Amino acid sequence: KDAVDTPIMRLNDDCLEYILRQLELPDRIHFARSCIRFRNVYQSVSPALDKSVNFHTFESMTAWDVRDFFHLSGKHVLHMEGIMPERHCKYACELLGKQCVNLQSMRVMANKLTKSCLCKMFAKLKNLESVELRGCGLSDDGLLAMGHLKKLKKIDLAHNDKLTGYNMSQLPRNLESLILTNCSGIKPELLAGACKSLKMLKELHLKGIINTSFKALVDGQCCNSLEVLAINCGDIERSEYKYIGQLPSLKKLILHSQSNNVFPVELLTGLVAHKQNQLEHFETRGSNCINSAMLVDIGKLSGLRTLYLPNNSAITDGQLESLFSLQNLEEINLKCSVNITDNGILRLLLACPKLQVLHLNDCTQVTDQLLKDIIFKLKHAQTTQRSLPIKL
Amino acid sequence: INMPTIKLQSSDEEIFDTDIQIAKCSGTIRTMLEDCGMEEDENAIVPLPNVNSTILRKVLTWANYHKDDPQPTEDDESKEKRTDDITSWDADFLKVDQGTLFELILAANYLDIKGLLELTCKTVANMIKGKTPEDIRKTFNIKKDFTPAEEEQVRKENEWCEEK
Repeated sequence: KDAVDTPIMRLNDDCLEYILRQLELPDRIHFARSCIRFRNVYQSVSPALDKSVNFHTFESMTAWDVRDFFHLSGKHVLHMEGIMPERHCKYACELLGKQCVNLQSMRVMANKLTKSCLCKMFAKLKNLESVELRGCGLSDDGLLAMGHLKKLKKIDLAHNDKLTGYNMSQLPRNLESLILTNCSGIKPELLAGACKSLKMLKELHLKGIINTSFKALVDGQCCNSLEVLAINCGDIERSEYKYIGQLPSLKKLILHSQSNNVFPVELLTGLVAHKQNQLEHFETRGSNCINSAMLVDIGKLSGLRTLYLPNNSAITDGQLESLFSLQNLEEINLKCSVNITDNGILRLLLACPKLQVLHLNDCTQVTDQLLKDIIFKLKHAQTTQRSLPIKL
Repeated sequence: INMPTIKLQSSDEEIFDTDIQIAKCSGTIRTMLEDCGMEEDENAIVPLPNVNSTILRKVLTWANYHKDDPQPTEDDESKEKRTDDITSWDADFLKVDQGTLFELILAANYLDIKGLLELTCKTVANMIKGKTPEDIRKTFNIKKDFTPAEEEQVRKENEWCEEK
């Protein structure tokens, strides 16, 4: 009888699932709320469809829809990101914290999150491994909401300028990566204390924090596991830079700078003195921050495998010779190095036996002839160490 | 040219002489032909006990019109869901009552004709889009079958939501 009155009920679940897959989330929720059978179909498809959700989807949904979504699908969501619609923010945080027990990663941008919001949001996210709360107006208090998340390895708190570093030592003990880009309110002594507590910390981003004390970090033995560091260059007291080389585990350094602001010499001499063989990655982000004396020092960092020196008009073919000593170099970025020619690159390539990846965009003097020359030269000088192909 | 044909038999035992190429847009028929070596046999009859003659005729009309279409690509969850790309021929083809529409979906599913399944399911999806649960029930004549207790629970939580 049902089949006569309600033809749609003749469809098997496979077909209903197929229809459901054609619908966006708000329509899927309405479908689920129509009757018990449709809700069951929704639930069998949800693990496949709702692994990753953008908060933007909630924009066209009512509070009731949002509630249904978290109740029906919360446990299937592994990743959430985006900007929460302001009108849903409070209870969405609460529902998220109760239902999304399998969530692995979350990125929230630009939503103002109070301590009470954060406590609700993180309540049961025991599987969370990575969280990004960018520009969320976080206060020091709010950080306490994350202390119990044992699996959390990565926290990105960029653009939260009210943070001072207080309570940061209460972040989860297993934390490996902490990004504090443009958290301009950070106080050096509080940061050092936090780093001392976070013994597993391997990666720290401090771009835009202009009052860091590397001396305090080194003297206090605060960052013994730290392998990756991103900082601003040129804004801090010059004498501070010599301590960077003394961070015991440092392997990768990313330096941000204002244009035409040459790096302090102390930085490179410190690195040469302490990290000659250990530093694997040296990266500058800025323009014209390298001079020829620095290239000589970089050439002494023989452990380097990756070197990023874009936007330096000071680098010429002759000065590239300083880098011929980098026998472990695998990748180099010389974008916008307008004074380098085919000849300089070719000689560098022949001098560095492991060099395999070259970024040469907008090197205006480099021509297609380089490619032909490389092929010609490599045919004649078969080096066994180099893995091919070479990428330009 | 005389195209090779095959005989398809509907559930009500009507025989449809069909070009093999058209019949083969159905994955189910293709497999049957290949597995049973029936392609060579002019008089072989492929029984389709799950499809009646009215629906099979429509399916073959659709398949004939679309015989030169490229094979639809594999399912990709990441690809944008589009349901507004139905051609006017297909839209006219599907101006049928709901009973026929759902029979077509079942036939496309059983015969494994991806293009037709996608088209018919999109058409149903379009009937659901933007509707409230109540509207969806009206559209398809579905009875609301949640228990009063469940309804009450939802109503309470709904109030809770609206308060916030």
